[in-house]
Amino acid sequence: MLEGSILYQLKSAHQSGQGTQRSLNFGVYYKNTLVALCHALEDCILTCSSEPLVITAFQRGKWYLEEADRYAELAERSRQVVIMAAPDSGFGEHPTSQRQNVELVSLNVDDPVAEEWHLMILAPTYSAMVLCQELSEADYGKQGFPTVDLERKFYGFWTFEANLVQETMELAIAHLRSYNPTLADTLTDHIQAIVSTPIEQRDPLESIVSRVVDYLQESHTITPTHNIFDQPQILDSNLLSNEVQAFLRMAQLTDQADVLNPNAAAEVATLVEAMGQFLDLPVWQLNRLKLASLLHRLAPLQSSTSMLTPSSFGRYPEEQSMDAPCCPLVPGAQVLRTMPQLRAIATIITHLGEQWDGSGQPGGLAGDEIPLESRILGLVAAFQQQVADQSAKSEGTLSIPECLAIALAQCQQEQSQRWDPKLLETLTLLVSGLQQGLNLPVSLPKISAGLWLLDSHDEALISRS
Amino acid sequence: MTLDLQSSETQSSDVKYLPGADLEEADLSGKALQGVNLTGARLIGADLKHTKLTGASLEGANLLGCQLIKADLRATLMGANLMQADLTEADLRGANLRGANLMRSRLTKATLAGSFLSGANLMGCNLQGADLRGADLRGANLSSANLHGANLMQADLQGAIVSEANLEEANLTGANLAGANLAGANLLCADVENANLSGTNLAGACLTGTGLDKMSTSE
Repeated sequence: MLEGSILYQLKSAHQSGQGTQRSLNFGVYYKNTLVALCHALEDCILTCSSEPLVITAFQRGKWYLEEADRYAELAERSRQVVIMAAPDSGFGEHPTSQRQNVELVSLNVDDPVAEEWHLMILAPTYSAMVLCQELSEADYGKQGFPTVDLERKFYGFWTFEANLVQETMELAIAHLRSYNPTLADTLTDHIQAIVSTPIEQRDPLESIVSRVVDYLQESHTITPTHNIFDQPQILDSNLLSNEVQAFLRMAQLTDQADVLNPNAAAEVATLVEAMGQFLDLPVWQLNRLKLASLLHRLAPLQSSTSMLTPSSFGRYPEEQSMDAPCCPLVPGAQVLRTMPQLRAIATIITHLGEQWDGSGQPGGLAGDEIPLESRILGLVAAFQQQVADQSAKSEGTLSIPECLAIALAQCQQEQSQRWDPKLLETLTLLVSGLQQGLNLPVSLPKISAGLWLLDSHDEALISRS
Repeated sequence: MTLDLQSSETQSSDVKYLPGADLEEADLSGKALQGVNLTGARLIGADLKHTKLTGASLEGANLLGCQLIKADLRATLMGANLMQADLTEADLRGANLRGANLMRSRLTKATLAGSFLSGANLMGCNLQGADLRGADLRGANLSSANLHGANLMQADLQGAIVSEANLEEANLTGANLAGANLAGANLLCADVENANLSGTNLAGACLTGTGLDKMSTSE
């Protein structure tokens, strides 16, 4: 990693043991993926309900010139746009470069930032960032530098986290101060104005994620048609990985916003895997459960309301709207169905609110009618939440085994009414193991690993036994 | 009585002891053969897709080029020959593969958590996205293997040969790499937090994006 680069500075600030900052997890991105990803995140500016500050790094002026017309539209909707790049001819002459709220920073050719690809967007209601650095020739190893431009490789990460975008923007501003101190001051003022703007509601993240997935999916179709790539399968995997990442990053925000239970998804994923092993579930089902666990707290699903009344038992009321429902039961789950590979996960999450006696939502399904994965995940998620609640309420006066016992007792009170009694028995066994010292290490998942949890089974195989 | 293993009726209750059996190119796909004794059996090119072999003994069996896609192989495969076998998404949790030959086999997205692979030959294997959490890989040969995105959390790779392997985006959190040879390996964006790297040979390895970029590494 190039010393002095923005990525390096951010990574250093987040090294393990550096205060309370969590360490950053980097992934690998092909230029093909980055183009689609950045276009999607940029185009969200066009529908953003507030004006963002946009700071970008394009490596070379020629790459900016390829996007300059689009950037005119983006500048129209932005508070300020900053383009950092090593200058090429025509860099400053393009009409977009002449706009009042567009500032160019001509990087020195030996500036490490000239090897980076950045897109930082910060608005009161929307934030997103792509922060990458290109591989050096040595990093490519034996295979050497790619012959096709879109196969060039970068490493870094992307995020929707507003605090991380702000932190990185501040690093970028400090960096460009040596080029243009007046601009640095202006940008600092913009950030202050953005973070102090009162907002009622942020722009809906599900539509942003849907756009990201759409744009990445469109890039898949380019690959076979044009047949210009040396390694189409690897590029496709990279696109697919980032489609899953879009959802995982959205779910990550839900956890981060929950100060009392910030590791819920990772802890639930660990517990469901242990439950699944007790039940001797096949690997594909365990993977499906793990992925559903990591995604079950997606914000749009939290606020979803059923299209059915509890007593309708899985049927749509005929007297209501003649419009076809956008999703079988829960409109919020529609966002997951943007990806065909996540349809089974959407079904599992849709039925989390069902109850064993049929009194639940959204389908009023009873007993074994409820998908097994939904029954397991529903029980484990409720149990984990109870443990977190007990731990928070007791303020450290209760031991972990005591919190586990209370949480289990609360689940047991709802046996046969809300929860599957057989699964409750399995949970009791698991809790007993935990109380006797069974160690289940919980680790935050490597976000690029979501790709490997996708399975090749189709939705019809959702288990109901 | 003649036992037709390929019959759709045959299940594990019919077959318990078949040591040394010749089942070359047999179609055993989807069969429930739990606990069967196939020690030293000849299964070259056999179709074992989706076959349940939980608890089976395949010690020393010859499974060269077998189709084992999504098979349940939580079994004993010590010293077995699985060269060029297709084990895509196979379940090998806790399997005993000590000294097995898996050279150039396909183990994409296979689950090998807690498996025993010490001394196994995994040269040139495709282990993309494989789950190797807590696996015992001491002294195993993984040279030129493709471990892109593999999960090797807490795996024991002490003394393993991992030279020229592709470990891009692999998870090596808490793994024991003491004395392992990773010369020329690609660790781009691999997670090596809390990994034991004492005496690890990282000469010529790509460490970009690992946090080890600026660390000195032992030869």
